[in-house]
Amino acid sequence: MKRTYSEINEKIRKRKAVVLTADEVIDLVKDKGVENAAKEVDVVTTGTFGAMCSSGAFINFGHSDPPIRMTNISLNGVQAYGGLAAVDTYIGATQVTDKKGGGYGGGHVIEDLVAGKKIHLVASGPGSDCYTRKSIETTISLNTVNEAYMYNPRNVYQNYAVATNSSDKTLQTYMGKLLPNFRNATYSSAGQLSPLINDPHLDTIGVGTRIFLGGGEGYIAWSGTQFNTKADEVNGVPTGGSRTLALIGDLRGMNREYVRGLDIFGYGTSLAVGVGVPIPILNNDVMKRCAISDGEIFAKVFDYGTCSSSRPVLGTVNYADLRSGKIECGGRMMRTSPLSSYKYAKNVAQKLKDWISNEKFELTVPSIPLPKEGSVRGLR
Amino acid sequence: MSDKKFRLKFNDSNLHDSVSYILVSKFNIKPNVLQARIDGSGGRMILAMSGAENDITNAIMYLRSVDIEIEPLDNYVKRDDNKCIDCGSCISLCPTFAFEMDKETWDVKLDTSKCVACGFCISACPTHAIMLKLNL
Repeated sequence: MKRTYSEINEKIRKRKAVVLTADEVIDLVKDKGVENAAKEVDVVTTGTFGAMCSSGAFINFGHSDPPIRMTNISLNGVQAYGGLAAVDTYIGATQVTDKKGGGYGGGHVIEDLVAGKKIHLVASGPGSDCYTRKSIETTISLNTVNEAYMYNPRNVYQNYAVATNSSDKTLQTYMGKLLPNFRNATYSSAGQLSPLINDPHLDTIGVGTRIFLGGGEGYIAWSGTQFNTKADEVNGVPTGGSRTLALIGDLRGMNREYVRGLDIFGYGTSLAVGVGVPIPILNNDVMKRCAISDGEIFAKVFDYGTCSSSRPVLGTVNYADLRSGKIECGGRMMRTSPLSSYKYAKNVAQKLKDWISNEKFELTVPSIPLPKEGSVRGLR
Repeated sequence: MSDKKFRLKFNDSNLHDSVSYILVSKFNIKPNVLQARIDGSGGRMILAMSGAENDITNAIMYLRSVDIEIEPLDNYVKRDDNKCIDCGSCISLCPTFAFEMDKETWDVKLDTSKCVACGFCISACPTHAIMLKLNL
């Protein structure tokens, strides 16, 4: 079976495209086999919703009169980057408020912007003959600014670590609260719904692929930072963090439901972003890979009690077990907590399915493929 | 049989009373001290009582007669569903298994009757969705 992007889009325009979510397609392939399923299904939608720390937004505030070249910028007390042109900035998700107590950061500013709330802007600059003003304090919102678009350098990690803690102290990590002596383990991937797990070698996903981003439309801008193709694989899927995507999309059109500031205690702030990637069923092989289920997707368990970039691996577990609420690893039973929301991941995949089924979303042919090779260097 | 939680306040005159012993021996109640603290303003306790409805009522009357303030602890743990993203970070932290993932809807369910107000989930919630009102 072979199918092209344009054939799929033709069917979308006629509302005849058959679209299933990545979890729905598992049973179909089990029942009918890969070939029959591939004939039937045009598009499979994926979804994920979790902390994606390497996220942020570019904003252009517009010029005041007299104008100012802003070099120190704060939005609701959170510092934004002052090294771009006069009234351009980038606000990053993990930038924490300067105010005592913390708990609020760049991720929350972005959530508030998307929610349509007013944001307190305080900025100053050196002043010059062309930008005479030296300070400004005002309020902005998504309606008042010229542009505001999300640009996330590293999102939707293809699989990720499972974290546990061998030490005798509770650890507050970006993988959540880890109880002493292996008493719990946390994991983050959406597993069988996760975008890059359903097209593990990026056969259909590339630069320019139109996606669901934060409740609106976005695009794959580039390969993500720390893009890695060298991870071990089981069933054709990496068993740890590997490929990543850089994503772009207009904040206007996004929905606060899928753009949430997070405060990860003891670590800092972040942003939960809902991302869904449509996978065109171009051939049997693509179909087969989309049918992977949680029981076939494995992740390595790392000991975060050892603070090193090469943490010890304690074992490998699958997502069906992780999702059951407890795993056995190294002869120990551990209770598990997901850190990303499976419910929201399902909602993302469903929403994207609805868009495509209702002719609101056509698939784009990637402009260029993402790298076939990539590895991660350390810092000396 | 009934299972209820209470907030108790002690003063100088009753700080040495063994509430647990009295509840067991006089009222056939199974007490469970969830939290206890003594400071400048007296003693505070979060206490669960398990027993017959009638026995619990009598025990409350007795405690009040010896000047121990006692009031039922209701709605002390709350979740703001507008903030909760149903991630499940809280699930493996709860010592009493009060949180559970619904495998049909993938909602994180909170059974407040299991909560012993330890507060361990509060800081672990990345969206500040869980609140504990104890005034201990």
